[in-house]
Amino acid sequence: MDIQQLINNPDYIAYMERVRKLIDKLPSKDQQEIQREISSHIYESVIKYPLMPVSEALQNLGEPHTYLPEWIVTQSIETASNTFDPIRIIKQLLLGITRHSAHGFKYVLFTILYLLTFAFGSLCILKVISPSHTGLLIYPQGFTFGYNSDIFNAHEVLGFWFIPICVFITVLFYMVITLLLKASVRQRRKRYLLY
Amino acid sequence: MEIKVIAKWETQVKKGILDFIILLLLKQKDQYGYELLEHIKLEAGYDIGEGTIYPLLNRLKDDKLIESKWVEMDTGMPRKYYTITNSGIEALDAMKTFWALLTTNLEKLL
Repeated sequence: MDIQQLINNPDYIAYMERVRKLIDKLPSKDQQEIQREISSHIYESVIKYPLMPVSEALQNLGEPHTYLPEWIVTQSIETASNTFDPIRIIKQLLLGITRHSAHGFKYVLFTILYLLTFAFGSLCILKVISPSHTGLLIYPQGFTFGYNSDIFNAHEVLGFWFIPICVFITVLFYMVITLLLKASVRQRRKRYLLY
Repeated sequence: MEIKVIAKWETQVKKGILDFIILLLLKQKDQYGYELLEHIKLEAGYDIGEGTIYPLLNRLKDDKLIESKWVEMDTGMPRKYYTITNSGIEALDAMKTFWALLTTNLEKLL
């Protein structure tokens, strides 16, 4: 079988389409690399055993969803977490939730932690918009760190120092969560192998 | 039940040493994915899902133990050859030392 015969084979076309659908959210360079490697593998398989039909070679390789999702998702989350770029991290976590149901819960948990961190960070903006309602508000019966619409009997003690403190805590949370995500993905990748 | 337990144990053992086998095979010569898979099956007697080798190769690459390059062929599709790095050789030597110690100790128990 030559290359032309392989790339015109309906089973091969359908298989590569399933691969393409699984990896369509990756950068185009990574998509090409994965498709190229899978094609090369299938080609070598049918060349090595000329009597073996393409469908059998594809069966031996396994359905793309059995080996690609974790590979792609963990790789892309790990790459994103290495950059510490929040937009990339959130994007890849959402991809993980939709594409990799086996670990979807973990990705949902990390997404919630990031969203809570960003929500906490947004208190800095709120301090500028509504300074008297935002900060460390001391009440006779307790305190609020953040925003409270009820400021009756409240005394705000931090003033605009609230902003750097809030930024520091947000960055600290963000770093810790990202390091935990990195460790979790790395640990998972080490364990990963399907039989 | 017992068969299930043993099968699970065998899978765990195999999983644990597949990195070691890949590095051993790549130390012999550079190989492309399919070739490596054939050697794993023939020489190590492993019957692994073919697609599963690529995530593993990718991880070894991320750990800088191996590297890869595409090689154009005179006929047919290009092949992605994997090569063991100096760090990979160092890791392999450490694995060999550990393996020797482990098998010696286990031999005493058997």
